[in-house]
Amino acid sequence: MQNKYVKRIIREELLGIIIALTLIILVLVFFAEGFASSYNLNALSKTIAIIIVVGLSQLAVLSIGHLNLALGSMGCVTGMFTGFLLQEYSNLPLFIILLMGLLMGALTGFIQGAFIVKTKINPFIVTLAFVSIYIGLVTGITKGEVFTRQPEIFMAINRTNILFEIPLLLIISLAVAAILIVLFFRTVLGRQVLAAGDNLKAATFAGINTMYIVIAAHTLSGTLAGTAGILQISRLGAATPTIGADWLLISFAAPILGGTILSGGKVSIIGTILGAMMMSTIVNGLFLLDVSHFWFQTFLGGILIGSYEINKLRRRYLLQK
Amino acid sequence: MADSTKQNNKAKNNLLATAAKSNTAGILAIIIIASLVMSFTQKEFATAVNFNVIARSFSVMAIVGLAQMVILGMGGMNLSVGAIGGLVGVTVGGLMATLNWPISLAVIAGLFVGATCGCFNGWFINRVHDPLNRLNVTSFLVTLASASVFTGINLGMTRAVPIYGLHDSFISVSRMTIGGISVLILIMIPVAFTVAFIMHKTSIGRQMLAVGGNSRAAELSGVSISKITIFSNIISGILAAIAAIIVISRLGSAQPTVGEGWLLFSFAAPLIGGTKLEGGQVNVSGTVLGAVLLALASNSLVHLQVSVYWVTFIHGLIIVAAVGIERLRTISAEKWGTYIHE
Repeated sequence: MQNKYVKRIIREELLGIIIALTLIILVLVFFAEGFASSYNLNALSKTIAIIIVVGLSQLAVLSIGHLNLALGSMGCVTGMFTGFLLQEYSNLPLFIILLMGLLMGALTGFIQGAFIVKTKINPFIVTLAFVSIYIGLVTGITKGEVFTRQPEIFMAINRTNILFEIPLLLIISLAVAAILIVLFFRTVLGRQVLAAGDNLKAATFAGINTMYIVIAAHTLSGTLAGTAGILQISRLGAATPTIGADWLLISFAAPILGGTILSGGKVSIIGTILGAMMMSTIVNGLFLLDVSHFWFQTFLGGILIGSYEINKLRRRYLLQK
Repeated sequence: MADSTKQNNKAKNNLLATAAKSNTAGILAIIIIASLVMSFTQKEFATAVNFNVIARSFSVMAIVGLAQMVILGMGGMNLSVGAIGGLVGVTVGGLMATLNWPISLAVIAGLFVGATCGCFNGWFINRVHDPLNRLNVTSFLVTLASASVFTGINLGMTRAVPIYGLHDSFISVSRMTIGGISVLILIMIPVAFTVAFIMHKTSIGRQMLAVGGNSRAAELSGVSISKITIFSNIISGILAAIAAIIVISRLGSAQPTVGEGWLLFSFAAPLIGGTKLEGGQVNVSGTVLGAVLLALASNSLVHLQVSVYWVTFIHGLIIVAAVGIERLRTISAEKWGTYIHE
């Protein structure tokens, strides 16, 4: 019963964002020179691919009502680590390197989650500290070095397009999203995570081991941040310490635009994808309309605030029902 | 039997009182010990020059910490302190250098911009606030977005180009010393006292702490949460503005990047100093001492010739250590606490 109601809400919200997205795309097609060109759409799709995974990384902890401020740094650690392996150990099979990269991502998340659980320090402060800890580790170890050599087979990932010029990066990203949908809605662990996010005490009394859930959520977040980091180094063709520096705002914007609430318990992966699409499309449009790129930040903040307003209207609408 | 338990409780009561006070004493002890160690082991540490370097640094950090502290006290958080700082910095710099405004007018304009940004924050938090969410989630979201907006306006106006050509007398203020002590401390101390006065001695300060402690109860007691939100955010904005003005005086130019590193320290200083993250309790002297400790740590790292690449990592460790110690204190205080209420 409850489930059906929640599903209906999500569908209605998604309708709203789909309409908005369609309108924006129509406007841009007609007024922004070059928007509909295959080159632009291809580049845009690659950006969307990365932002989707960044948004999903934040979604992973939003599901239990936590915030992960350090996902940019986690992505940086994983991206740099993978870049290092690609450059220095290129004789290893690509699949092993990528696996090691993902494990590194998982490790960064695991350490953070375990830390939160063990020390019981406020999660916000812990993730705030880990921003500095992880990025500090990267700069401390690499001393600002960048890794620019990548094996041919890895570089090919960025160039590959499937079907109608859809970049492989986007397909990978959507596959990740599909895995998450299965994880959250069809597995026991996923249900437990959502339950814990919804009502921690009730979940504990229901026998769910909330400690494991917290660690699991943060590990997942780290893995996804790592995935985004690897996608990013593929896109850039190099691993630099600036990866993830601007991820914080978009990591919240994508889920929030998509209807995820911050207190936990309700996630919308499709919504996050749509939110990522909306943000990237708007920024792309601004770029094509010759708006100075210095104003992009303002627009992103404005979009985020706009989404809060929309959320407010949604709530009012829901309460009236 | 009853007598001995009463005596026991009295003894533990005193211990608790000392434990509570020990926060400030504890930080002071760490500062003194660290300073002594550094003075004896490093050549250049115990000099007047170095003292003023630390002093100039912690004066700014203290004010930034206070800007965050007042919001923490009322149960929120302000992620836009750095962004407001940057925007105020370039505004004041631009007015002075490009439009040739006199210093006093430019400074007042800067404070006004800070207050306006804060007002914007407060107004939006009120608009967006959902009573089902805790206040600090709402303020987190709003200030996350507003930080982007302010930085965006900053970069949009300056195109990331620093503004040079500030009035000479303005720049020299940060280098002045009175009796060997940097003038900046003499600016920071009255600011800190004013904040302490507002928080502890005025009705509105008490209302802020009440909202932070239990917003529902405060509301039922007649406190207007929306007014308090706007007021505290305005104060926070003004404090961020003051810090920014000091920084651009020190730098000698208005860099659009002012405020970029403020976020971590803005939380670290109050938390080290005993301000609670959840709100309801602030410690002004603790925040100032926390800033001193942070500045001392940064300065020590330079003397110890720690590679600049590791500094960020160590900052992260410091905040963990600070909050961790605070947690241990709270846990032990809770243990003692159970004996007080028979």
